Formats: sequence, structure tokens, C-alpha cells
Amino acid sequence: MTVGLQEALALLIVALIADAFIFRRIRARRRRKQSGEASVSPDEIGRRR
Amino acid sequence: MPRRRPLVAVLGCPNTGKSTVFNRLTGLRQRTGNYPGVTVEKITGIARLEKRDVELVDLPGTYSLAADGPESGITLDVVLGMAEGIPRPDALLLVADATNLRRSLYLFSQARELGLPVAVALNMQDVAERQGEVLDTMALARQLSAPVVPITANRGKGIRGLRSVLERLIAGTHATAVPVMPEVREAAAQMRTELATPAPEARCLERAIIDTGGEFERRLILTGGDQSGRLLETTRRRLRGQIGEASLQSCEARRRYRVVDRWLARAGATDSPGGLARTGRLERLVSHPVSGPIVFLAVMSAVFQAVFAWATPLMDAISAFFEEVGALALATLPAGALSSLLIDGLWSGVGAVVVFVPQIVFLFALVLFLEDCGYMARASFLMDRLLRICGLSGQSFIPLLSGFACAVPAIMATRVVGDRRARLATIVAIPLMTCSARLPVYALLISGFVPPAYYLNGWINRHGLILLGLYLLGIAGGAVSAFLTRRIALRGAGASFFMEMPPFRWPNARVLALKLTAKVRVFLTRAGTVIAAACVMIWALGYFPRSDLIANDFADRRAEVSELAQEPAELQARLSRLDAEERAAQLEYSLLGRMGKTIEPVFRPLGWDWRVSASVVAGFPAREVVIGVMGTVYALGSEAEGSVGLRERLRASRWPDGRPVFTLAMALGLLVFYAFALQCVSTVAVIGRETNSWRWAAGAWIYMSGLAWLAGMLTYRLAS
Repeated sequence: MTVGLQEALALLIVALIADAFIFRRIRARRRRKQSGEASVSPDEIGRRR
Repeated sequence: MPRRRPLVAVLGCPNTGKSTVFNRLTGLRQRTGNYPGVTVEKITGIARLEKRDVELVDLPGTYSLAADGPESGITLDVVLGMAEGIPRPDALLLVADATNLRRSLYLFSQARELGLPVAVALNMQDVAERQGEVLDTMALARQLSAPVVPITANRGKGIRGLRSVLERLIAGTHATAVPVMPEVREAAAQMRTELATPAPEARCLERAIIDTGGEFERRLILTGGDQSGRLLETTRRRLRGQIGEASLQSCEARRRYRVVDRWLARAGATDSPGGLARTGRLERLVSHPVSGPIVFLAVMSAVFQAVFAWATPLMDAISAFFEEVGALALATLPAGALSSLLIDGLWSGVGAVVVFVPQIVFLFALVLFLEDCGYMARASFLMDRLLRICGLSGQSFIPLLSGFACAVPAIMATRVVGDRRARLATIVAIPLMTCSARLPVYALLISGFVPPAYYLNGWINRHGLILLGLYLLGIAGGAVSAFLTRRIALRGAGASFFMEMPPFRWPNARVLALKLTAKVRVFLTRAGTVIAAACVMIWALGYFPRSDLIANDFADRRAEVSELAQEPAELQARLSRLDAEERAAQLEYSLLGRMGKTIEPVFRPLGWDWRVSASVVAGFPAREVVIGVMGTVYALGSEAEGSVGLRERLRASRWPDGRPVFTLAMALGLLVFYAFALQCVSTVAVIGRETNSWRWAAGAWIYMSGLAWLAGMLTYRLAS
């Protein structure tokens, strides 16, 4: 396997991991928030009251 | 949208198995256990009964409907039909712990006054039977005027009976219970007529009157302004005089427990042989003004020592295992980006997560044990007055103490702090406690750059004093941060800290093991995955982009070295030195290295060169990493990490004009910087998860980094 191919693969794996464990969660949270099914932060509860 | 199915809200005290009952009834596959922040999620599901389907909503665990924290606030919102997107329930299902019924029945005594039919599921019946805590459920049902179903949710026993009870509960009628605090009900009714603004729901107003500093008081003042506040205070004063009590909250607690004790006595509840040892002697010992604090100090130092003594060897073993396997894999796999990602990124990332597990296991095992045996409630009361000065509460004590071992489990432990503002202030203070990950950095810098000296005939040494000073600095920083947070960001009186003194009892090993497993699983799945992913991302920053020029240059130099006939051992040493130098050069070329260079001017006032800046930036995932990174940056192989070699190399590093970079002043500044800086992605991730708000995580990081910079700069300037 060439060095370039290895590096491309490594970058792809990093992107996939970041997507699966970080960005997907952020997106899901945003979606829940928009649909009103939000998981409410203590901060938000304070504000609502 | 028209509602087709009746709605049943499932409520109960924490750890009574609510979610398990919910899962059994709805068949939904979802996680049990409550994770702070996440517990505030509302989970709904459909339960199939014989004649109809009902919708269930799983509420977060709460001991009381007094809205003094996020969990209980949401519970009351849903139960009163004030939660967005959820209609008012048609009935309530209260899941009670059969082994600690008194606490659950307190909640029941509040729930039955809300005008909704309530059924009681007596969970953990099997454990209660084993402990000999058997009571007459029929008699209890008569006392409560509500159906009572004994169940063992984790085995599915009694669920069928529960379904038919729910069916009857929804179809039938019910009588509204007489309130325990009739004076408050009357006062609330009168106050509603006197309020200028639209009056809140009667039950909310009752809670506003009783709970000083609670959420409903805040809401009332928010909508009605000062006039409502004054009216509320007048009503409270009048009621206190009428009832003849100094506190409405304690009056409510006393009355409710009197009712609960009567129910239990008439249902034939007996003290279990294993527990309920509310022996006067033990109680006197732990609550005594003199012996109480002594016992407290002894217990806490034992916990602290045990966590260090037991967890450290295991953590060392785990680290060694990950390093050994990593080194083995490095030797086996062909060199390149993929193997580096696998070993330096993924494998170290997983290692960075797993290494926390022993501390989490031991700390939580001991904390859960102390909680379940009833001591924690007493300890919290003892510390309450002291912590209140900083705007925290007695409940903040254990999380703060845990912070000395590791901020990650400590922040997870803030779930015990009921008051929202006190909890957030505790979360802000915890990362300033000197965690064990700071120790390797302290050890390297103190032993490397502070000249040794001894005082009092050698009893006290300067290194130890500086280490102690750094611990005290952390404590002072935490106290000031909590104080400022409460004064600036989270103003307002804290809700009163009310806690039932549970009887001393021997905890159930199985229940402890279950709770502990849940904690570890939550850590590994929720926080752990984020930590590992972040480590991989930092790896990518330190690896990319690669310079072909550097690679070719070092390939030539390796070829040159190999061509010269030398001893195999010397050749190997020179080659590994070249490898380390190439890593350092590539790191300098990488995004991380460039960040270090870019950020260097920011840290110049602290006396740092780009290498120190890059190490600190790279040390963001975990502060202990900084030693390894310095090893790489200063072109040392991994074999010299943390050893004298690194110290010598640091001492030898020079500015372009020949001045040494690492001076005593610079090292002291760096130490102070590390005492305050939030150099730990795990902690940031956990703050984000626990507050369910990344703004708090970012805020804590910015605040602590600013504080660290300022304190580091001042120390450097003063010591220079």
C-alpha cells in the first residue's frame, strides 16, 4: 500500500470516527431540540421557569 | 392534536427501578438508569393492556415534588400538565422500592393530592422478602386508598397484575385525597384572588408558598414581579404564625412522615433484621459536634487513600498493558499512517478511557456504599455550613472530594446535588481540585527545576511544600470560582437543603453491584466514546499534513548512518534517535505544530517557546500526555519519557539568544498554569454531558484557561 493511500485511508477513518461519535450526536441533539423532544439542560429549565 | 390514548406518568424515587418497570410495560428497548442531564429527557412508550393501549411517560427519579432541582422540576411539570408537548396525565404509576418504602410513600403522599388516580408498584419485592421486610399489601392498599401491586421488575414478576391494575385505574373513579397541609391550600386559594397577574395553577402556588427559594417561587416572581414576591412573603409569614412553625418545609416533612409512618405501621411493616439499626449510639457518634467531624475526617481520608491505594496499581497496570501492546504492535505492523492511527490514535484513545475505570469503580463503589448505608446524608450535613459560604451545599462535598482523584467521576457524582445552581457551581469548582493526572506533570517540573532544600531538621522538604501549595492553590481556586459563579452567573438564593436522614443499614451487595455496573457502563458508552474520538482527532492534528521533504531528508540520513559500519547496538540507538527527531520535525510541520507556533506569542509572557506551547496544546486531551508530547517535541524516544533524560533535555533547551527556556521562574509559572488550566478533554466532555449544554463546557474551559494564563504569567513575572 502506498504512503498516500495509507494517509487517505487514515484520514477517512478519523472522519468516520468523528462523525459517528461526535457530530452525529450533536446533530441528533439539535434534531430533538427542534422537534420539541429536547433533552432539557438544567440551564434551559431555569430559563423556562 | 387530538389524544387517542390515555396517558400514565411513571414516577418514583431515584433507583427504584422505574425505567425497568417502564421497559417491561412498554416493551421498548432502551437504557435503564439515570444519567444526569440525560435523566431530564422525557421518554414515552405505548403499553398494551387487555382492552386498550395506554401511553406511558417515564419521569426522572425524585424524592419529592418540591421543585428544587431539574429532575423534580420536570416531574412536576409533566404531572401538572405543564410540560411542552405532553398533555396532563390521566393517572400516575408510582414505582416504590419495597426495601425503602418510607421514602417512596413520602412522594406518594404528595402525588395523591394532585387530583389524579395513583397506583403503587412495590418493586424489588424479592429483595424485600429476602431481607424479611414483608408487609400486608392489601392492608397498605386500604391505607393508601390506592391499588398496590408487589412486583420484581427485573425478573418480570407481577407485571401482568400491574397491567390489569392500570386498566382498572384508568376506567375507574377515584377520590381526591385530603391535603396534609390544608392551611397552605387555603392560603393559596386566597392568594390567587389577591394576585394582580394571572394566577398560576393552584398546586404550583402551594409549592411556591412552601418551598423557599424553589423553582415555583422564582416563576411566580418572574411573571408577577415584586408585588407577587411581597404577597408571597406576607402569606408565608402569616402561615408560619398560624401553624406555629419556623419553616413550612420542615412542617410539611414532619406531617407527611407522620402520615407515612402511620400507613406503614397499619400495614404491618417491621424493621428488617439486617438494617434499620437506627441505634442511638452510632447516630450520636456521627452527629456529635466533636466526634462527628473526627469520624467524618477518618471516613473521608480512608475513602481518599483507598481510591489512590487500590486504583493506582490497576491504573498503572492498564497503562503498562496499553503501552506494551502498542509497542508490540508498532514493532509488528509496517510503519505508516494506518499503523500510527491504530496505535497512537485509536489504541491510546481507548487506553485513555479504560485507564479511568479503576478510579471510577473504586470511588463509586465506596460512595455508593456510604450512600446506601446512610452515612453520606450525615456527612453532607456536617459540611453544609462550610460549603454554603462558597454558594455550594453539603451535597457538593463528595463530588469535590472525588475531584482530587479525577474530575470525570467527580462531575458525574454532582447528580446528588439537588439545587441546580449549586450543582453547576460545583461542576465549575471540581476541575480546579488537584486530580491525579496533574501529579506526573508536577513531579517532573518540581524535581527538575526546583532546587531541593530541607527545613526543620529535614522533616520538611521544599518539594513537598510546593506540592502542598499547589493542592491548596487548587482548593482556593475552586472555592473562589464557585463563589464567583454563584455571585455572577447563577445569582439568587439556593433552595433549602433538605435531606431525609435514612436509617443506618447494611447495603445490599447485588443492588450496589447493579448501580456500579450502570455507572461504569454509562461512563464507557457516553463519556468514553467521546474521549476516545477526541483523542483520535488530536492524533490527526499532530500527524497531518506530512512533509515529504522531511521524510526524504531523514530517509537519506538513515541510509548514511546504516552505511557506516558500526556496532549493531549503536546503530540501533542512532536510528531510533533519528526516528524520534523525524517525529519531532513532522510534528513541527503538522497542524498541531503550526498551532503551537501560532500560539507561541500568546504564551511568550509566560516564558514559553513554541515547543512548550505545542506540548500544552497537544496536552489538551489529557494533561498527563504533555510529558509524552514534550518527549516527542524535544526529540526524545519513548524510552526516555518522564525520566532524567527528558529533564536534562528540557534544562538544555535554549532561546535563540542562548538563554535557558526552563528556568525556576518559568517552571513555577508552568506549575501554576497546570494547577488552574482545564487541560483535559474528558472533563470538558463530561461537563458538556452532565450539564447537557456545551456552553457550560466551553465557558469552564475559557474561564480556567484565562485564569491559568493570568496566574502563570504573574508567577513567572514575580519569580523572575
